[in-house]
Amino acid sequence: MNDPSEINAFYKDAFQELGNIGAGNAATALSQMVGRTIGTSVPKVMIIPIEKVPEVVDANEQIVAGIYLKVYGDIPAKILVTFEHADLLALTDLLMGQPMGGGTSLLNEMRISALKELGTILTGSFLNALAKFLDLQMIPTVPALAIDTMPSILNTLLVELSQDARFALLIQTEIFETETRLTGNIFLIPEADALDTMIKAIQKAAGVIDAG
Amino acid sequence: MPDKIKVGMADWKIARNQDSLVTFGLGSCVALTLWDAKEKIAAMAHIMLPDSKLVRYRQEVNAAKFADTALITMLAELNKLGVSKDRFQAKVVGGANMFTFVGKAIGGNMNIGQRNVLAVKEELLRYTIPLVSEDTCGTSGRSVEFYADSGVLRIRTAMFGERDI
Repeated sequence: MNDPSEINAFYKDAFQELGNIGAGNAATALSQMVGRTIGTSVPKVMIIPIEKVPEVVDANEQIVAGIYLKVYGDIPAKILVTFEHADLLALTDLLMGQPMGGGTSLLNEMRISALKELGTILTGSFLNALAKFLDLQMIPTVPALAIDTMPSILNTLLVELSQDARFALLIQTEIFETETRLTGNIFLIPEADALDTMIKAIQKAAGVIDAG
Repeated sequence: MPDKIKVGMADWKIARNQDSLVTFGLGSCVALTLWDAKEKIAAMAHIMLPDSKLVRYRQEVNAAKFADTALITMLAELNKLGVSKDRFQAKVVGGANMFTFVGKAIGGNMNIGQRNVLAVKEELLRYTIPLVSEDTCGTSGRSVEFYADSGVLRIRTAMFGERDI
């Protein structure tokens, strides 16, 4: 996107609703997987100059586990799931059905694989709900994991986008386990090419007739 | 009180004497620093992409964003301040490939970190500025602070702590 004024309030609301639909489905999937109640926050829709994204999203250089997938199909996008570093052991305990905080202090291969699996399930269910709602095809790649600072991870994702656009659209939704407040974030970052398709699909889904 | 001058993505700044330059969240981006030991002048650019000719939209005056336009712009501005390029020494940090698995799966663009490093080094050669040290590529993100009085570049990573080059 090169001109943020292209996105009016109607589409901002619609993007927020996409976050809701995706994260709701992801929360349901995770809830079934671990047998706990999973909540979601109201999604944040951000349209920011690419250079400003890391400081707007997290200026504190928090260390996170980032699970990153690319999405191909009708809406090329990047999807990123992040968890705070401090939560990773408890989170993997939960995934592996072990007592939380009782086990090892090491993030071994088994736990890393569990995290990637979690990323796959969350992003897969997120994208599935979106694809169904918009009646479009969205095909994710395999997940890649990095444990690093949030700004570095965002920096890496945005560099590619910065070749094609000056502004980034980010839809950020928090999902959390209600009992222990383990929290993750799902970011959907559409590529520059994807916006037109998204807007047309939203119009169609919302029954808006495009008179233009 | 020494100032810490922040250098954002696609930006570049100058610092003098007791002041330092900081930039954080270098993933595949590259920090290029120049230092004049005699005048205690430091400059740092946070470069995002190797080649300004590959972008698809009309570029504004954001020369520090690209390896092929950052150095020449810095040198021209510093020259106006009376600093000769012949006294500069350079350091290069960053250019990580943080999501290696994706890189292998989809190829090409994700190795932009390495391409950034190569492009910056090429520019240094072109302007015959000596590269005195570097900490590049790998898989870790970096944050850096560059001190104008000593020319020390302090690198911080999430997993391996701090080191100076």
